[in-house]
Amino acid sequence: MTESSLSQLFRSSTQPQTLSARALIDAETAVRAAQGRVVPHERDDVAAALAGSSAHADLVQFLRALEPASAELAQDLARSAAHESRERRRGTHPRVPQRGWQWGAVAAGVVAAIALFVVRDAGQPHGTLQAQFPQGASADAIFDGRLETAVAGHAAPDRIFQASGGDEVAQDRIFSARSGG
Amino acid sequence: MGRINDPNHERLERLLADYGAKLRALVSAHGLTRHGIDADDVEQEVRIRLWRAIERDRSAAFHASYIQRVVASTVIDALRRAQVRATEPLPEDSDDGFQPFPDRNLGPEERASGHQHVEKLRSCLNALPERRRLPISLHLQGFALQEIADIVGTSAEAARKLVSRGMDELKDRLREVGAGDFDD
Repeated sequence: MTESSLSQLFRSSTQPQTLSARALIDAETAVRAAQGRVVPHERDDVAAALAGSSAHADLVQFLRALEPASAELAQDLARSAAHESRERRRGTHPRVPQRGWQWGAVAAGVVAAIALFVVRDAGQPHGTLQAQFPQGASADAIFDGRLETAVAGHAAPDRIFQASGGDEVAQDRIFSARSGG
Repeated sequence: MGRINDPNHERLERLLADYGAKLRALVSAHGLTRHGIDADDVEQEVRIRLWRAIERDRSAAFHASYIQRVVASTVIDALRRAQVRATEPLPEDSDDGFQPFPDRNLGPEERASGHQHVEKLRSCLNALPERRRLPISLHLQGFALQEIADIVGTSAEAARKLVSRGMDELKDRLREVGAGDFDD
């Protein structure tokens, strides 16, 4: 007999062990055991289950062997999700330039309309404007010279620099000869 | 119908199909089919469960441990179903019955001898000190030294010594009870 056949004999003897009878390893525990990360307080139960049930042992060894493929699938799925997300975003982009063209066309139309309006107004004769705004009615009051004329022709003298006013106007005492002496 | 022509859908289908093929091969290679489960069924079930998870959230990132848990729960469910089936009465010479030796050409006498060997092995194992019995049992279940160390919670070197000395002791005991000699 060899060690291999002894192992086969032992595995055969532990094959009928029911999962429920061994207080089973759940999926989470099986995955941890396959990763070599048995939780200390579960160690005795897990070790007993793996030693006493070839189904458990096969499951954990199978999971260990499957780990690289699962890691690869996880990476591929992540790449696929990222790719799909990029595609979705790219799918919305073509609408943006379309809208840009639309807005551009609207803006160009508005500019053209304004330009047309301005050009049309510039082409009108001045006489028309003069007719619309008669000079007499609202002439420029600042530069028409009437203000200066009114000030120059004012009857009352400047009281601030007046040397001698009337009785009711006080004389300039700052420059008075009497205040000095 | 539009979903079928979706290139993303096709890519996911391809990824899961590739993974399913690897999974199916490993289910068979690790002897899980001996426990009454069908590798094709396990593959299909895992693919369905993963597909549903992906459909729930296409942008979700799946960790390898999550995928492993999906596979583990699928296999455990399949093993439980197989054991429920196994409790149903089977014909005397059914292939699914307990066979200490995998050779199907064994006669009744040889099978009886095989049962005797199993009983002797069990009694010799039980006679081992407890600290050696568990590593030896794990070794006989096919676990590597590092795996035994991880499960038992010791170093690989300590596991190696426990297994080496334990196996020597087990063989001596088996020889003593007349279970035959061992070629190392």
